Amino acid sequence: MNQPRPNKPRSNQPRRRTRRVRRTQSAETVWKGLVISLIVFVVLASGNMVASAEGMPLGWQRSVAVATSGVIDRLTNLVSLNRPYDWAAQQLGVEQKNADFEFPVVADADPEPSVTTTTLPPVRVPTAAAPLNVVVAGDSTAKALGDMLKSAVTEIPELSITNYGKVSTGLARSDYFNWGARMQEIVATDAPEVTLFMVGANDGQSILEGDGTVVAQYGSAEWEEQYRSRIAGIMDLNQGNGRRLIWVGEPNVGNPAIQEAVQTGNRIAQEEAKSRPWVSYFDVATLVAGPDGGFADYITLPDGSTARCYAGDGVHLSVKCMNRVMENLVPTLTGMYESAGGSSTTTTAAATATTTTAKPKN
Amino acid sequence: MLFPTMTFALFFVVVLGVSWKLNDRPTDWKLFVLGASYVFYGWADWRFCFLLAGSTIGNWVLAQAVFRSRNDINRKRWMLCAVGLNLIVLGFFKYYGFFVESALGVLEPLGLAATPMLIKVALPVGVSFFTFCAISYVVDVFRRHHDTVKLLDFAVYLSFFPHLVAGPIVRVSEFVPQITHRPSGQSVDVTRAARLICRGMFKKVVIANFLATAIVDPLFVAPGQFRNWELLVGAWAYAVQIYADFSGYTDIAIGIALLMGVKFPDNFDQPYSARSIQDFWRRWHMTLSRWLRDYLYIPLGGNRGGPNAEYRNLFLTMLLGGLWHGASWTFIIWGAYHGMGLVLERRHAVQVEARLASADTPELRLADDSDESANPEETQVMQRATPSVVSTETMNPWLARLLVFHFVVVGWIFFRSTSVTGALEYFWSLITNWGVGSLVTPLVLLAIFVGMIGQFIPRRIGDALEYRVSQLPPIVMAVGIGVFLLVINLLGPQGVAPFIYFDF
Repeated sequence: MNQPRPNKPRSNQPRRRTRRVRRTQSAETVWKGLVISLIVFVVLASGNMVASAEGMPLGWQRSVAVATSGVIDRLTNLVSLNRPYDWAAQQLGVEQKNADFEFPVVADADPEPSVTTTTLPPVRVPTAAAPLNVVVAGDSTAKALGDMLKSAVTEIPELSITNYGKVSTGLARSDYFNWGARMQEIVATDAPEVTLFMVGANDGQSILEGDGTVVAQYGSAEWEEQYRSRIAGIMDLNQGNGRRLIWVGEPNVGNPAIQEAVQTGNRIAQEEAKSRPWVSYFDVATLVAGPDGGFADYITLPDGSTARCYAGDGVHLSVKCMNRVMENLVPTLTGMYESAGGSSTTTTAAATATTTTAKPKN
Repeated sequence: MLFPTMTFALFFVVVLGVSWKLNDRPTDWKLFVLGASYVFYGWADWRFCFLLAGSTIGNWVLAQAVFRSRNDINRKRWMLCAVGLNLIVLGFFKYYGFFVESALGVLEPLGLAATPMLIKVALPVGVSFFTFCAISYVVDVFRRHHDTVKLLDFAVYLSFFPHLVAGPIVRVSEFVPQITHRPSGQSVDVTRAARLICRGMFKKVVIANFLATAIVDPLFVAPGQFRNWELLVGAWAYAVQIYADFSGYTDIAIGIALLMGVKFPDNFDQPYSARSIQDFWRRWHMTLSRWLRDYLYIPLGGNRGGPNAEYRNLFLTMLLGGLWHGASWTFIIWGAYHGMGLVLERRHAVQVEARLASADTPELRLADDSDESANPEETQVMQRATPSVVSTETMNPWLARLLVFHFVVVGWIFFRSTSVTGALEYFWSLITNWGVGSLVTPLVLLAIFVGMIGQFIPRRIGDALEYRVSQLPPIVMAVGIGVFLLVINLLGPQGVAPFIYFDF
């Protein structure tokens, strides 16, 4: 039988908690761990890596990233390592696969479009109970336009605005975001009665197909032809069922490289709109132009005050200048049905009827 | 280059590997890290590297002049020259447009035609952070807190990429000893670093980006069109978003620096658990608060000269702190609002102190910031000892937290609004547009809850988890981190939104 242990004398000192010390690692182990973490990430999410690489700006970095991620993706596909990520992404609705949509190639615009007479159904006269279904789509400038438009028409219950603007998008890079496919989907599901479309500020780059194939280098003659096809494609997707498309031109921008693309896009859109009675062109650039008609960070408003017209990036409009756009855009929208009681027949004589460059409202 | 991108990950793999290889050769290490930092900074726009290099050389030369001057008048002249030049650079890049527009707004109603040179000025990323670091160096040399450092050390200090674009605002005395005497490469605190990086990524990519796209951005574009329930939840959401965004960035920055063997001071300490406004500012953007105190509040006179002078200095410090955030009246109002809050709180604290003293209770001591020569460590201890008189003595702690949080939230509405009119529209709609709206979803509420619950989890729980993770074999830890980052990538919205504080 064991002897009972004598009780240890109790100390009056409070029991000291032992501080547990974290285990550290050598720098070499840390570096290897970092590389392993990255490999795990890249291998398991190889599809996501390919999509991210394709979304990069053109250049050697993108080429290397696309090639490398493509090889990794093919290898991981063989052993299905990327399946769990793809499955989870699909369940969460994260993966946005680019639906295939190929823009038809159109010939250069006829510089002297013939006068055509086309019968269009009238724009429905909306009510508060059945408002006009207006969809805004395009890049981040369109997103801002849609948000401001929503705000500007709060007192007009006859207009219902849905904003599908998506940042960093345009018509050039179908590999990143295919506006053709998206517009097809919007027309099918939302059946907009009026569509406002605005892109161009992100399109100063080569044109790519959905699979990443470069179809036209930026600056080449083919570029303008391909870009024209895409603009025309968006316009044609909005044809039918009395739908109207307002192509909202981009404002002038501060960056000369972007400005060139914006001006080209605006010009092509105006030319293509002339032969399409359901399309009108809304000229934002003129509304916010400087004294020489070009880009100006500050402009004089109709009330005589000077306002900074752009956000810090020289691309997106400030609230003051966006309000100036709204003062002209909202009457354009309401004018469609206020005068509609009738005008079911639109005679399109080039710039007069369909290309309605907004006359600035003072 | 943004932290949560594959480009940065590849950049960092190379930099970390080479950095530790050069660890035993301090000069080579510094030259390499300097080069890497300039690549990091020039990735988006290489032209700004010239500004950084100019600021480095200019401030180093002027600090040398301060140090070598034989009399105090010349020392002061050189110091003021350096501070003035830094402020001119900062003012030009950050406030040119604001002042021109404000001047026009005053002149035009008076019928005075003005034709200013209206040019567009691009804001270099991080200019205010490295300018503040440079000012602190010159002023500390002037105050004889430390000697001058070598040009290479100063260049690495100013450009060190983990803190270059959005802080934390580190002092030379905290940074240079760590690069002069490099730590051993045998004991890297990888678990703490991994915790910070993973936490930062989660806060930024999942919480901040989601709340921004789901509710905050649409609300602040046109607040007048939303219902008051959306506006109320949206204001909470922005409070969580800006915390998750900025503290997420600094968590990642501190973690990355730690992996390279450099320790940064903390920048956030559960700020929404604060029980007074003063307490909030000890927990929010702590390195900026410390900078404002040491290089603005104390030079203005601190609490010397009686209560009124103290209130004035407190108010001015917060007002200028607001202006530092950007060239906009909304930031000025935000700064003034916090300044007023601090003044009123301090006044109340003084009254309570007097009442307690007259009741023969042990005296409560207020922060004594009159000692200009106090070193930072002493000052920090001093601040920690300061009681939160208002809340702890007179109010239920949870009620105090609730009130302080909503005081801060009201300020954030000004901070986030694009104009004063926009902010007023937000408040007006908040009290007039009754209704629920559609922007408040269960996911939005969950993201706010997750962002807020982190403010109240005791530190020991995180430390215990960190200890357990540190015991794992390195390979298991590495794979676990890879999978965790994968989950973050899945849960966050697509695309990488820039950090909010890149604009400041």
